[in-house]
Amino acid sequence: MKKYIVKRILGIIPLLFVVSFLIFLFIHLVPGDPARLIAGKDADLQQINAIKHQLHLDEPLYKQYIDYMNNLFHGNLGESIKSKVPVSELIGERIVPSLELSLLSIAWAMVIGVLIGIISAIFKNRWPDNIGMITAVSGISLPNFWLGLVMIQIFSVKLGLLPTGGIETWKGYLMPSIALGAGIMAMIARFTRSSLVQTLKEDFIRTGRSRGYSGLTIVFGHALRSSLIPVVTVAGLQFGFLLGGSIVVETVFSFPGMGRLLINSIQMRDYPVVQAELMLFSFEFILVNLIVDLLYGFLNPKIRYD
Amino acid sequence: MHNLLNVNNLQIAFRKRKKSIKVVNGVDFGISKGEIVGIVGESGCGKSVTSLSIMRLFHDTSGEVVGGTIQFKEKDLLELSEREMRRIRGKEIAMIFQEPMTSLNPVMKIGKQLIQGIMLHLGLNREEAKQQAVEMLKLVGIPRAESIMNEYPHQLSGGMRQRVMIAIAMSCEPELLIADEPTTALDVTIQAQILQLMKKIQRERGTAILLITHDLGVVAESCDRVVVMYAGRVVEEATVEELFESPLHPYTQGLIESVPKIGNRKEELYSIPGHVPNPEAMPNGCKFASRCPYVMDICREREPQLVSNNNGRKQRCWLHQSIKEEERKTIG
Repeated sequence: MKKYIVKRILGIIPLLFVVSFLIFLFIHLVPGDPARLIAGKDADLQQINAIKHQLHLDEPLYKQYIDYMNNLFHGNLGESIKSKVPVSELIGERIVPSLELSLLSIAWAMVIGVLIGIISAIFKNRWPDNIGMITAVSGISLPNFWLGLVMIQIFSVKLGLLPTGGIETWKGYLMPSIALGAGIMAMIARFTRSSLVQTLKEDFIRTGRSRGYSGLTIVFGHALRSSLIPVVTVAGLQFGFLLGGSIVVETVFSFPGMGRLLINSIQMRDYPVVQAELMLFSFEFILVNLIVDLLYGFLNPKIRYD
Repeated sequence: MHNLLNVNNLQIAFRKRKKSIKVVNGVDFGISKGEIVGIVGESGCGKSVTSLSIMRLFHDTSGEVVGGTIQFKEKDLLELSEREMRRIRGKEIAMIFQEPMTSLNPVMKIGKQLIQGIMLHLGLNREEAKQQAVEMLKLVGIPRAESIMNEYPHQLSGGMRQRVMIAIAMSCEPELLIADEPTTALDVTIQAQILQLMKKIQRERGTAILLITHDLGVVAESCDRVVVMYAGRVVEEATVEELFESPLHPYTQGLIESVPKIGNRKEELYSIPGHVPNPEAMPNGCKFASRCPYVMDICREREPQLVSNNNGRKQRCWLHQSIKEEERKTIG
């Protein structure tokens, strides 16, 4: 097990190399020129070239990449072209709120989603199931920015209970996390339901019933664990996306997270910031996948990593 | 009357697109304490459904008992509440199933699966339950019982898993063990061991066993009494010796005839011609009439009753029941 984890973590390194190269390539393929954006509309070619030279953007691409990677290995992510602030500092400010928001969103979405899924599976095709699945379909269908705006209208504008944006208090996290988690909750509810319905048909469930276990013991003690594998898969993927920050929801709530930093940097063609953010997302995604894989082994003892 | 279980006129129906289809119609049999009774019949004759109905395990199916009584000791199991029934399942009546590969919880250690039921029914604490569990595993002949407690089902072979199933079933010392095709999925050599084990348990613990099988070899080897089912009905009941020596019902005769015999070098094996009637379109008379070599006019018109002679032997066949002479015209 330990050996497996170490192997997987070591495997991340070459993967990140490939990812870094692809990101670098694609960023520079995107049309637009940071030098021109910095110089402004009225700048002439000479000024632009001077800025380009200053930013080493006039060097061949491979050399820029090698320089970048060289700096990266020395722990230097470079500095923002636009604000001249070190990239590590920019991201450092943003990553904690983003991480908190992601964790909060996935946590409530999992708890509520799994609960709705269980209730729906137990009362399959009866009214609790119908209500649960209507909730789930709504959660998937309602766009999260719309949900965000409606909540602002009700809870901030009309009732004045919650702030419209910012994260000065914990209240600032509530509405963004609901907007972000609703769709995930819905998806988890549906996966839990279908997986549990399937498990409840298994032979070993009949064995459990033949031993006189109550319905609750059967569901929670016997069926649930086997049903969670697809749920964990979905939750892991969704969590990966959440970590990337949600551009739309963060914008609606003026949330100081990674998503807004990313969109601003892309608009400014702020290459070092975009590069660092995307690499961080890749790394987080890979890490979440590793955790999901380890959870498989915990949920199903047949899946063992040694 | 038998002193442990009496099934009277049991009728079971399945709902299919709002229609109710009877798959078991008028099944009667009984089991006395410490007896091994076999129910034989081909697939679809209703034997498994009958066994499930005793445990009331129609969960998640559309099956339903629509008539009759199932008397277990003093109680009619069909009258009990679900809560009362749960106290009987696993404690007084236990069950083992055909599929040892899938009947154990794949994500739970063997020990825990055993201990859970023991704690539930016998009210022991974890330590005592654990001891009882190890003892049960030893009883069913599992070597290194202590270490098996910490293993998962997929680490065991099919025969071992069926032994574990038996250990689980026997762990609360039930009075009746229902075994639904317990050896069908196993290798022949393992089959014999499992049957031996079940007989040993019956001998040592006095547990009555209801053995559901399609295999006459299994019946001959282990049962005291045999109930033969065909198309949802009991067609014959006899002691195992009587049944193999002089089967009365033509269906039983056909079944015994179909068992391959060593030394018989005929090219083709015998099989009863025709098919089991579709439960949605049951013929009026005897359900076996269309396949019976001795069929008479009356067989197609009226269904014979299950008739018992003085020493408890039963058959449902016009050949052995008095009918008026003019009706007894054989049609080739």
